[in-house]
Amino acid sequence: MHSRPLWRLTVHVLLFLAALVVVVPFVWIVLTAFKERNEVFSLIPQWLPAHPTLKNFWGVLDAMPFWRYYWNTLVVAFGILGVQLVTITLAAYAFARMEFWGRDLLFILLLVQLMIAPQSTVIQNYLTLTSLGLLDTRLAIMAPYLASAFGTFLLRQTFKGIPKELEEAASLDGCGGLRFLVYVAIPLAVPGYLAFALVSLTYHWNEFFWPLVITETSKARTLTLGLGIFAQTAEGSADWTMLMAATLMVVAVPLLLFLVFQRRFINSFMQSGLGG
Amino acid sequence: MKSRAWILVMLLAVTAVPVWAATEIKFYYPVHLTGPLVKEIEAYVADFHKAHPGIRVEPVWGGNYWQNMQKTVAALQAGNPPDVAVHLAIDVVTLRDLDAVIPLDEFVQREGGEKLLGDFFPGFVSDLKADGKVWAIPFQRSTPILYYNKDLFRKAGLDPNKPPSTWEELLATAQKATVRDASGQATQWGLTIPDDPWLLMSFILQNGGRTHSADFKKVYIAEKPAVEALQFWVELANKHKVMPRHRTFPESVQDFAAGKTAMLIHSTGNLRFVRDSAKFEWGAAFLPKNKRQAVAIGGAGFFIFKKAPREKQEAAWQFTKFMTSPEIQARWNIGSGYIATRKSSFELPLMRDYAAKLPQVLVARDQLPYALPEMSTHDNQKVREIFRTHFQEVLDEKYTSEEGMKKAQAEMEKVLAPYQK
Amino acid sequence: MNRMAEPKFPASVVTATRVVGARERVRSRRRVMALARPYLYILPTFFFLFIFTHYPILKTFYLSLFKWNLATPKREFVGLNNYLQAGSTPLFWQVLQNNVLYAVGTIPISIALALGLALLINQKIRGLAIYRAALFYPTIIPMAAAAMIWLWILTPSYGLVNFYGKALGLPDIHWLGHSRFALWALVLVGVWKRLGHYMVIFLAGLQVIPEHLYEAAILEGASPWQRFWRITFPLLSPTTFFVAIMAVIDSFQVIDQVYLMTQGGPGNNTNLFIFYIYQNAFRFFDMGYASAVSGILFLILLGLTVLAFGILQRRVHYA
Repeated sequence: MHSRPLWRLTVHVLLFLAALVVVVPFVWIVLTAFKERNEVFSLIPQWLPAHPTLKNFWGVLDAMPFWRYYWNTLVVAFGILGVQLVTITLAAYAFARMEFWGRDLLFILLLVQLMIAPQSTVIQNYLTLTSLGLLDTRLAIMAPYLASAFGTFLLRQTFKGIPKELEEAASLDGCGGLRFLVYVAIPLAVPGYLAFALVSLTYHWNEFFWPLVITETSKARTLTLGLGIFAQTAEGSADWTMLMAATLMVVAVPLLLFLVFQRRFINSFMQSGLGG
Repeated sequence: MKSRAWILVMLLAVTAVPVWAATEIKFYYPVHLTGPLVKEIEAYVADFHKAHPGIRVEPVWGGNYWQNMQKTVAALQAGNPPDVAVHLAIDVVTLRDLDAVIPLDEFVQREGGEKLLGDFFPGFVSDLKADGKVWAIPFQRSTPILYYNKDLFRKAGLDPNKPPSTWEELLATAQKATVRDASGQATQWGLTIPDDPWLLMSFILQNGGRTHSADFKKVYIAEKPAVEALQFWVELANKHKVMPRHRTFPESVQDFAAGKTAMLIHSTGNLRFVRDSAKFEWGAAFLPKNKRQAVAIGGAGFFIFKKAPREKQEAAWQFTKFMTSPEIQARWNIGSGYIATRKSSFELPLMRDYAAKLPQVLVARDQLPYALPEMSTHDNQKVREIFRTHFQEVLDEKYTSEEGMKKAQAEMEKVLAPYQK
Repeated sequence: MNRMAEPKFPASVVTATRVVGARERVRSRRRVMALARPYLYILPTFFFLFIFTHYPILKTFYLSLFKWNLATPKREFVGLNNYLQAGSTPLFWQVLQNNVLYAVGTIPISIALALGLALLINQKIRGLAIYRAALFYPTIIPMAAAAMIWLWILTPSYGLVNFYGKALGLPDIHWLGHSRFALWALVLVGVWKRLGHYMVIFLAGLQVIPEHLYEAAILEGASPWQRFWRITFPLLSPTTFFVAIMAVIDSFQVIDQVYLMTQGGPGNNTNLFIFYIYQNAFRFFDMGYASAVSGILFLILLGLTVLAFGILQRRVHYA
């Protein structure tokens, strides 16, 4: 539409400035992570490390059970996703393609989960899981998220879009009920699943508050929590270079994945107004 | 027959050993699972296991002090408290309100009673007593001291061997040591103190004031000495501008290590960190006095829990005794920076060598006779939070010192109302 | 089916009846199955939903009727006392005010910036993917990491902001430790973190606006400015509204930033709802009061959501 070169230049300049403001903080922490401890106390900004070092990264591995946090995070994020895929598929299918008494009411009861902040039920969930003896376990971090109204909602839309004739035809071929779901409906919904999976994984990889409440030791703690706790310890809080190295280590893999699969991520989040 | 019976008995004994030998005790300790403190404690636990093969200590790293307390309270509610734990001295009140811990007098008597307690620095024991009973054995105690940068003192034309010893001198020294740029902005502070009530308490005590009643049911922070102490602090920051208004504990140590402040008032628990990171000559001194010489003690003690069966309490006591022994206290002092809680620790060769290398440690010890309990009340987390927020608001000139402390006093009284009987 | 009736009929009829009976049994079992199937399908979801969403909401309101704290370790029914206590506690109102300020600070700026950037990115220009990635990446990093990044950048004396601030003649400010700036520093981080997400939602909205509308407008000689206000903005308004509601709800859920960057201080200047609940529940062990505050938060969010859906529906019809 706007093909005038001047306009194009303006667009570039504006976008470049905005991108710069958003990216600079990250560049700054990357550079900090490779500096020596006392270098950052200089009163004139030194962008490049004078003596680039990996010491901070080794220091982080020494100061916190990083790999255990990593493992816990993987188990929690993929564990939640795995169970969610089952629960949302079944529920979405029922809500999309079956008639049953109380369906609309039940659907509203499901949507309640979208309307409330998970944070407002933290106290009671803490008490419930403690009384079940699950305090400080990975299962407890996962528990409140095993059903997903957002995922059900998203899939229901997809399932609803499958033409009735297709189901009838499949049913005549002896492919009704569950088999229709497995062989026809699920394959058709792959893009929806993918979008949901990326949002769910990102959300649970990043979550901080609920794991903070429900864990007490590094047995079950996840990466973000490990980072937050590291920042509160003496070494973490007194040593910016090490803290930035830890930050970088926490975000590195998801960020690389994002850079590689940029389109997929962005498309998923486009659909995910409600964010997980 | 007889020999066979013997074999049987011995077999039984052998197989039974692990059963009665492994008295397992759960130990909540307030540290995050990182860093040198964990390694120290793990080493002591390993040594304890060697000395007491019949007991297994299972440490649980509970985070910082209040997170560790949260963990204990949650475990109490679930009916599954630890057997032994390190909690703040001020938590004596809450732990007793929850009927969670036992008095340790019986154990103490067995080990020589007053003779045992007499080897601890008196200030460390007094705030672990209540109703004439001892509720915990001192561990990981600290007081604030004055750290100062001798290089910056010299640059400012101050005598590097004469740190300020009174409030007036503190102000005068801070004024001389503050460096400003052309616009009047401080580029180097004369003094830095974290804006935490714990440090303000020392000033209140130095001004002849008091913070709380012996029965933990009343607070006195709106009294004249307390308000004056706060006013002195506020003027350092806002009128004379020789001190930044808000600094957290870690920020202020960083500033000192980076040479951004000539003096720092901070916990003795940081001696080790300052030693390791300061690239300049530094000294330690008593906090300056006003009406009297005084500091507020912080830190913790070993508590033993009521719900633990007798043999676990017994094992917990063995562990407590071990951890607070003169040798371990000396090692702990060197490893962590927290002052050894026992006088005899300082007689050990280990400790003497250390003090020879780092004489500042002795300053921390010698200040102890002037140490008084920090503010301690029922519902102390809530009361402390009220103190912190109003203190910071006064620093931000939202209220005058008097108004701020009156408000805080009123809110604290509301919190303490249910305990007045 | 009826054993007593059996002998009265000839054998063939009996067998026939039996066959029919068996078929009917199968059929009725099938019918029961068919009736039960949807419920079986939704059972796993509702099992978790009930335990971790519905029950906690009800139980939170129930607990909010009790005094249950360190002074009263055995809980005691007090009716609406905890709610009255919240109403008469200045700090509760300050927390509410902080939250409203946070929302007011974040929402218009994020929306304006996100919309502006979405419009720019929607131009078909070169390097678009790079710009989009650069603007979007904060969405996928954890808030905990964002908090660390900004703690370092905003730190007094040697933080990046103060370096360049000084060059511009600003004083050396402890942004997070200053009662006037701390909340705005959190707002800044919030905008930085969420901007990209809102931007792509706007992009999604822009992409469904039919191209021919613009073509027609160009033929009629409408300026870009007119095209924005006559086509883009009205057609985008459901999206704008949706983003706004999302942003309001987000702003009531802020906690990671507060916990990691300020712990609610200095004073209580950055104490927001969830942190206040956390403090009361897990630091002061005042479960009854914390439940009441949770209940209030729940009602606020419910009110906002219902309002949003109501308005959104009307808007959508209107459009």
